[in-house]
Amino acid sequence: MKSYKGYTQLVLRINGQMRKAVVSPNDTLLYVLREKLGLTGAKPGCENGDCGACTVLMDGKPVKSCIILAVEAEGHEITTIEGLKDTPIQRAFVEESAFQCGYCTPGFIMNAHAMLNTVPDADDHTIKEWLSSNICRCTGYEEIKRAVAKAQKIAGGV
Amino acid sequence: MISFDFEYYRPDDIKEAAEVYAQLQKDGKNPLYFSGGTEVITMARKGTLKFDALIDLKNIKEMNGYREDEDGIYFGANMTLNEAAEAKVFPFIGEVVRTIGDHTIRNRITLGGNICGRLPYREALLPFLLYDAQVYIAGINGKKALPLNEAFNKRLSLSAGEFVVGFKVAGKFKNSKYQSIRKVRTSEIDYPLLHIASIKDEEGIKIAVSGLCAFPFRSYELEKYVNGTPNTVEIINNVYRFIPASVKEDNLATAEYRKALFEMSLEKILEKWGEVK
Amino acid sequence: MGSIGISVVRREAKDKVEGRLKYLNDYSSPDLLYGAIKTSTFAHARIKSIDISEAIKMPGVRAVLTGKDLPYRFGIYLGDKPPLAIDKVRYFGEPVAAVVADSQREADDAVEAIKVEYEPLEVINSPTEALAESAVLIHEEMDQYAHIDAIKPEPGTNIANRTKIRKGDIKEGFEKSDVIIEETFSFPPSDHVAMETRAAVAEILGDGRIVIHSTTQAPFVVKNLMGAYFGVDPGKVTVISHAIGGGYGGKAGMQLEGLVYLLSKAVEGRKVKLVNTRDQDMITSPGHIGLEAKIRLGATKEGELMAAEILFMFDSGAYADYAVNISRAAAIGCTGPYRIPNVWCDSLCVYTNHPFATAYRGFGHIELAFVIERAMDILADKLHMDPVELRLKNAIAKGDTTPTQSVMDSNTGDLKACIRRTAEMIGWNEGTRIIAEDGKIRAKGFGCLWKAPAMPTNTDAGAIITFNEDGSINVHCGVVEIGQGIKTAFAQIAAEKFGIDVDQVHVIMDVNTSTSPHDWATAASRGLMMGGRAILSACEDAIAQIKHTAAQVLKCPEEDLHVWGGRVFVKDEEHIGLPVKDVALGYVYPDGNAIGGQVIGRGKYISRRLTGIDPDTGKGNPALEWTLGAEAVEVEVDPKDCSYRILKAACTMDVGKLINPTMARGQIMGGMAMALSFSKQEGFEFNDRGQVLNRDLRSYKTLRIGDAPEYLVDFVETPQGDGPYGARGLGEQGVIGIPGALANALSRALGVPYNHLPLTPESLWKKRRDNG
Ligand SMILES: Cc1cc2nc3c(=O)[nH]c(=O)nc-3n(C[C@H](O)[C@H](O)[C@H](O)COP(=O)(O)OP(=O)(O)OC[C@H]3O[C@@H](n4cnc5c(N)ncnc54)[C@H](O)[C@@H]3O)c2cc1C
Ligand code: FES
Ligand code: FES
Repeated sequence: MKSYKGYTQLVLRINGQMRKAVVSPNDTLLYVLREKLGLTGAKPGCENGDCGACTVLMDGKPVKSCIILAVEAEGHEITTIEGLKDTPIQRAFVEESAFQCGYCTPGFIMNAHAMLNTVPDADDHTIKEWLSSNICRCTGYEEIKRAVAKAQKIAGGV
Repeated sequence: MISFDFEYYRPDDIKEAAEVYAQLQKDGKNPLYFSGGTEVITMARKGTLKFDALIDLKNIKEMNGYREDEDGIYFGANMTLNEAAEAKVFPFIGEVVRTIGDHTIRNRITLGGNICGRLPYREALLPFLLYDAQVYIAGINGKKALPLNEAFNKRLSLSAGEFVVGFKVAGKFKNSKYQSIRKVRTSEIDYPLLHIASIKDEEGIKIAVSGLCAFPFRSYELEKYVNGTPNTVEIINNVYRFIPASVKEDNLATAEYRKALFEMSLEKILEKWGEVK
Repeated sequence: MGSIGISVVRREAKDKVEGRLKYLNDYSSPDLLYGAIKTSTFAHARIKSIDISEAIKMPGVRAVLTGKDLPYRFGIYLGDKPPLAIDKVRYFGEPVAAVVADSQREADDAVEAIKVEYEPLEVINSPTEALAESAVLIHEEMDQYAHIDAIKPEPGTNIANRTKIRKGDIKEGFEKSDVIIEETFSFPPSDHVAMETRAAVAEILGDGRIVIHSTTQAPFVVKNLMGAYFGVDPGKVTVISHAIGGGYGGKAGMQLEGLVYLLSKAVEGRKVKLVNTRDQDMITSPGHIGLEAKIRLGATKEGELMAAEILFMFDSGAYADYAVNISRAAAIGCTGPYRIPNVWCDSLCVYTNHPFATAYRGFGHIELAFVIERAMDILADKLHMDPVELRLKNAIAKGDTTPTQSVMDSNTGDLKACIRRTAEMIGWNEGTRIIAEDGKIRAKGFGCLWKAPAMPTNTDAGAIITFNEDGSINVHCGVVEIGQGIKTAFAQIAAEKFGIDVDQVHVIMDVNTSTSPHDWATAASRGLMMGGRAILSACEDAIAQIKHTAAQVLKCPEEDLHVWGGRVFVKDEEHIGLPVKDVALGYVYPDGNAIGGQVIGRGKYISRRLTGIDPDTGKGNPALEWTLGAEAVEVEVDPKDCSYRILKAACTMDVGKLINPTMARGQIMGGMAMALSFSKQEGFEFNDRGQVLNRDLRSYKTLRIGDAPEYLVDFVETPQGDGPYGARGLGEQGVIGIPGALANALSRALGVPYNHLPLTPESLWKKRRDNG
């Protein structure tokens, strides 16, 4: 049985690398990523599980890192926005101007990326179901929808 | 940020979990079971929940996934809502749990955590209540199975140190027809003002409700009345005699509107059952 | 070449999609100290005692401050707000004490340990209550507050400002009216919900210089106010703003900067960071103003508007901040974009015990438009006239006068064209109320918009242009990038002027008040117009300098030269010329002699011919430019439980000239979404003790992707003569007509007048039932 009391060293697998950090059981994954590992791409928006700005992938599935303890991430593969480079969804976000201030963007991209990996041919219903987990306050969401459609095309080689 | 310190344990089996709970209690500590963590972490951050230790149940294999055997389908309490939704054995379970929170959060919320949580909604309960599920409960004295409808009254009665391992649903329910209606204040990503789930099988119509009162419920008296009364208008007029508590009034909706939604939705459900023979 | 009217990709796009763009809270350093604040649990109460004895002893704690330590009064127009409450609290969530500690956790822990005792006072929960004869005073010492001239507080009441509009003869106007309607409207205070919460870092250097990093839309305002509040030399204050995660007005003015400076001061000038949690950002920091309004509107039976009598009672919350100017802006534009000869308006900014209000997208205009646009539909109903026709008939145009009696000049946009185009896009003539087979009702609603920037008469912008060795340009301007894409638009404007590729223009993203040219603030949608003008003038200045040097080399008069496409050449003999890069940093002859020196283009713009308004009549010329437009909404309503979906949202706006179509569309769709969210489902819910019940994003609901309608956006381009390439502001305007349009659509759908926001299904259902 694993157990943690007080500050201890934790080894996490993040973006394909082993990363070490001294954490306390009450540290959230978001906090450790940002403050201990310098991965500030995941953003705090509400720290309450509501906005999705802190979304990262855990074993390929999107999760809200503000309501996960860092100790829970042990043994799982974590992917943050820093781990994505030139993916179809990132290219599509640029081409479709799917952001304004950009604060929600890493969260949206992580979620959409996971969706496209899981359900490449996601239809409107699925896109709505997945992406309703994130809030964007700047755009009217139209450009984000278009970016997802474009990423599907890019990934499909069209 | 969670402002208080606590210990964290991740037992590998049921026995270990129960033992560490007992030991912590003996040491004068206040332990808490933990699965998806979405409620525990939120409440801890807001300071509305305090504990000295968390016992994370997610590493207990027996509580993961679902299995089918001759007397039914077993759902591990650790299944996330998305896993439960994707397990196509009972599409109705998927239909109901898919409405809880949002898709990303459903990668974390577990059946066990939702059903044992402190919120008044606990919508994942509804199909299990309707399916007369067995609930498996473990503690320091081992494991037991109880009919969920007996073990659940406003909340699941668990003694200190007990936790839910899983649920079992009899295979016969695969054939029962189902429907549900969920109403929200404005946004779909919100708690329900009302969530009615209903199935129909050879025993008749069965109804379970969340959102209307301070706890989810299934009322046999209501079902008996509904099944014995052909006139929908009459049912609606008398329905509150069978509601186990007062209708909720809060900043999401007045009791009045909740009642109106309940009546409209019940009518719709009964209407549809009228068409299904 | 042509860079205008093209959808150039944003400058910072790649950094944004890779998560590399840094917002203020993404920076950290080992020498940082952390601030935390204790907030009030009462909406109105005397502070009996604050016990900090335990907190101060806690590990890591460097300082604990209470209101008594900080005898200041902040306020951009009216100095009414102590940084930490003194003697009494005036709203739920008001800061009462602050802690500085080595870590955030230690600071938070210490805040928990502070004990405050309150003695509750009567709570004022609405403007009407605040204006009652017997109402308790929220600010007993109003007569001692410093304020600017344009603001007229009324000591002894709860009125922080009153603006009067008296145009024509209101009595006569109603006498000439065949049809008169009278209605009341309201909505509660709400929030911006920018995804990035406000944050600030302050440090006082050894020589007394103050360095503030902030999530501010208005670094120069902060700098100026730091000087005004604390008596420090403005030259010693540097305010730096980085990328900002959404502002919508909420990050203008002074936010956390004053307090974080005081915290730094309490720890010998060490660097202190203060970051709002989401609930603090929603209720402790200011939000969107609330409103109660009454209107009488009169017209002839042909539908010609004759008179408007309007009373706005804005819910400013506990402090004045920008609210006193919002109420003023609402008075200045009170009629909406309609020609009304006789106008009487009193616009009151009223204190209540609610969280206080600051600038919000639309600044007074989204508020006034809700009232006017609903009133127009109610009037149209009574006249048995099509609401679009009524709007067309009264649409303001060149030569008409505004409520402040200033004449709409030749730059006036074409509102009628906007109305017609929007009606066409939404399919107005194909039916405005259709009942589907399943019993659901589809209905449409219309709402026009107008907006002028509400800003000082001397609002300015500046720009500096420098060159690199390859002839590419650096543009330096004090306007802040908050997601509106302004820096990209600036690059386009400069590229167009020089006839070069946009990639050859580099825009400095961060704004630093010590090195950037002065700029008023990124607010009032004036960035493009004023910053754009400053950049054009900087370009012209640089071009003159290039010509001056090149003329010597090319041995020709300067006037004969032209700069274009990276070259400076003789106009009528194009082959005679030089690359700009050979001149921009000084020309060097083959023998090594150098002349000219580097080119530094200086540009500036200051608003022209603006005046204040007369305190008794409102007469004056306070508006730089009016942006006009028309919007419409289509909804599908279930008449049983009154739940509904928004199917379409349409907008046509006269933007003068489109600089970047994609970004313009994006701004407008974003504005429409924000306003739909606001009018459908936002607003604080208060209990009778004035506590806000929905102060997280679980309970305060903003629009999500599944709620987004189909957007129909189009433009009319009537050039703004004094705008850069004819462009005028469009950043905020998308929000303005939407609340009225949505309420109109729902009123039409259900046959009941809906005059109060938010339009939740329950509120629709109740009103419908009560109306039988
Ligand atoms: C964004 C968001 C939206 C939400 N929307 C909804 C909604 O629409 N409807 C709704 O019903 N809920 C909603 N919730 C609340 C959600 O229901 C709870 O947070 C969730 O159900 C808790 O499940 P969990 O697995 O995360 O449990 P945890 O937080 O791990 O635990 C919750 C409680 O259950 C106990 N527990 C956990 N597992 C077991 C077990 N196996 N046996 C015994 N006790 C156990 C814990 O001790 C704790 O007391 C939402 C939450 C979020 C974050
Ligand atoms: S910060 Fe995690 S969901 Fe908002
Ligand atoms: S781009 Fe600003 S919140 Fe989405």
